[in-house]
Amino acid sequence: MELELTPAQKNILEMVRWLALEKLRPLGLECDKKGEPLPPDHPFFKEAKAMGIKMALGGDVGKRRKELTSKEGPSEMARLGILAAEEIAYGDVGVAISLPGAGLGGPPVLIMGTPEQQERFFGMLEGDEPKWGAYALTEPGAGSDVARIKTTCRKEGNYYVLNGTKIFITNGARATWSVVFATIDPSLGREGHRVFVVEKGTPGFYVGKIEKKMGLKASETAELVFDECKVPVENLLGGEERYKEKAGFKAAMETFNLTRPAVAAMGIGIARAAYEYTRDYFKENYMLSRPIPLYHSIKETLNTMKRLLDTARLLCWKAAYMIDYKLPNAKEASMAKAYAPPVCLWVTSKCVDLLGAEGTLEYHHLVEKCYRDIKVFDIFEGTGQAQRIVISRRLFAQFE
Amino acid sequence: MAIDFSLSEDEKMLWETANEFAQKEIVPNIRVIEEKGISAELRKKATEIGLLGIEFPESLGGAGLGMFQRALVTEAISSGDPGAAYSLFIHLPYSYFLLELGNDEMKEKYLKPVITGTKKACLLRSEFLPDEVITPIKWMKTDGNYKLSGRGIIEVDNPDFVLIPAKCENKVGFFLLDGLKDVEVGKTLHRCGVESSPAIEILLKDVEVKKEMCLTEDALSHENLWRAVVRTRLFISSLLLGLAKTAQEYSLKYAMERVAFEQPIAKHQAISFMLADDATQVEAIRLILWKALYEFDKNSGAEDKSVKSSVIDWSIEAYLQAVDYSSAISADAVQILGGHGYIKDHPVEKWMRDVRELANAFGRPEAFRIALENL
Repeated sequence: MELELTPAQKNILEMVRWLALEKLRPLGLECDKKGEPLPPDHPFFKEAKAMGIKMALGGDVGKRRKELTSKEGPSEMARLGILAAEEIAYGDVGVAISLPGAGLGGPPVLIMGTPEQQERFFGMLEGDEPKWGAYALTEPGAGSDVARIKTTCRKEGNYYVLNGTKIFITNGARATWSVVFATIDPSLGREGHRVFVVEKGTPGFYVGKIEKKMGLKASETAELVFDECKVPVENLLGGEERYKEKAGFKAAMETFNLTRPAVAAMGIGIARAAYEYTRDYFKENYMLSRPIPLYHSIKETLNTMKRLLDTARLLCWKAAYMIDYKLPNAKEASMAKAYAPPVCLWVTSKCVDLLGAEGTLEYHHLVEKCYRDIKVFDIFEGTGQAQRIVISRRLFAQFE
Repeated sequence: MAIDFSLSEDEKMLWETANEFAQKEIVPNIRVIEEKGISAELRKKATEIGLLGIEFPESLGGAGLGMFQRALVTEAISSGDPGAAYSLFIHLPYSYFLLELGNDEMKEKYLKPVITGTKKACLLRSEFLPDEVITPIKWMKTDGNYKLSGRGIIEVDNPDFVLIPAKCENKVGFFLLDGLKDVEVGKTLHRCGVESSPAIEILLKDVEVKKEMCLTEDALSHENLWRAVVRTRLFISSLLLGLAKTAQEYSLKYAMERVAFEQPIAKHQAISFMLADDATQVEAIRLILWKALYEFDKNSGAEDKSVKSSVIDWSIEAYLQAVDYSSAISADAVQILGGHGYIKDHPVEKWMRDVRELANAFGRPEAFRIALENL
């Protein structure tokens, strides 16, 4: 057992934190005021790509792919990814999840894709221009309950024809390709699932509306429409052989095991930003002629914030450690995702409380923005309720 | 890569040994131990497999391991029954203060026999708050020796040694009593939980203590005091972790068996979410406690003030998480068992009582909620 960062990791995080504060935070605040996503042609993205900064969840896809598939010893990528995820979200989470890269689309391609597909799809994202991947699972009638998706696919010659609508897709409009979950027959449930990589410009593939959101305004959330969309057979992830078992559903779930801890860590980054701002504000300001932290209730609240965030972070670390050691982590990933967001919600709302009426003003814009940004963390990547269902099912499994 | 939660083979074996002991010797006898305390025979068995002195130097009869290994053992025993674990390890707070504040001669004479199980000892009930030690006993100096007076509580019946924190103005001294011959023993109090340890009143009327039985006159300025306090706090936190774990597992098992409205109650969402939260909170306590233990084992020798205060902060965070979540989980367990939770055929009502005693043994959570130094 060893629970601290190495000097090398600390150095990396210092750099990420600098970037988060100097670049991401101002851009995020600007987008938040405008209420518009950061456009794909914004010079920052090109700059970020030139600096080798990619979407935190994907990490270094090439390296990660090798490590995930190698039989040798534990990897480091999930743990590094999670550390970076918190740090980058500490700057601005909307901009963080808009960083070029495969994003949430990376893990399913890594888990399911044939070597040829991995080469082809990750290759498309290379080059100087910023490029994105996306992950399209949610539909108007199916979110956490993945088995209920209604987007259909039918095979015609060398193509699959897709029909349906996907919603709330991060980077969906700008993505070079999207990983799309569809079903050959909704009545088959999970076994009917097929996973495709749909490239931008495929006939019958349209981008619908871009959502206006409560928080995370720098990030683009798009609706994707498939109307007799013809996807070549070569873009069926893993090839047809793979679907003789419940591979499609399994891919969705395995993706979550990788991404849930990272998403939880991002929430911690946001809440930490609000907490540190509030703490420092109080250290520098006096009320009723004594320093505010000397008021018992306020001090206790600040203490509790730190304690809960420290605990939540360790739950994320544990889930990431299990990924790197190739241990089954569905329960632990859900525990991190079930625990961290409510804690972060409490922290940010208390920060607004502590700043009083001022906390809701633009003067304290950061805290007020964190309060809006954090809410969705208890919703996306599986709601808090969905996590509790996963956890309790794993608990029951030991009796069955 | 330095974020690593895995146990070594030795640590796994240690845990298994302790767990086997708990399941075999404690679980079947929870109510007997509650009523009669830890028997001499049980203590002997625990001593033989080395459970009493995990974290003490080999020269004192211990195993020379760290607080992390101690916590693994404590959690395993406490998962059998937290009250029994508290009583079995009642010598630990005593031993920590003696280890950190005593000189070599004292350790040889008063610590070694306790760790090796030949003598019984305990620390007088007292509270170790941030910057403060609360003790009901006063000390004064007379002709180079000391006199102690006051009324306090001990938790061992007829102990061979008692360690007594006592106050003189702002100074807190630590004094050893060799048996209770100079002390008036009062009544045994009825307590809320941890009934396996008696709460015995003792009255000290100008009890004379020889100079060589004084560990220190001024513990608050002793450079090692914080280590004894943190060790005690980590020990209590691991007891609470074991309590939370066993309450969570017991209620889960019950909920899988008990049927209501045509299905096991565990499958009703109101209960299943409770079970999921309880399991998550057990994991939460364990991880932050492990972090605190790791920090202590790595930095307990630190001279640097900021390192020291960070170790203290981690122990406080772990302690408060353990207090809050074990309280909630033990109450949940009673709730999940419903009417059965309320009666003594099941142990959950006991754990709900035990948690209050453990949470307030040698400290008080309220005092620590504002105590972090490094926000």
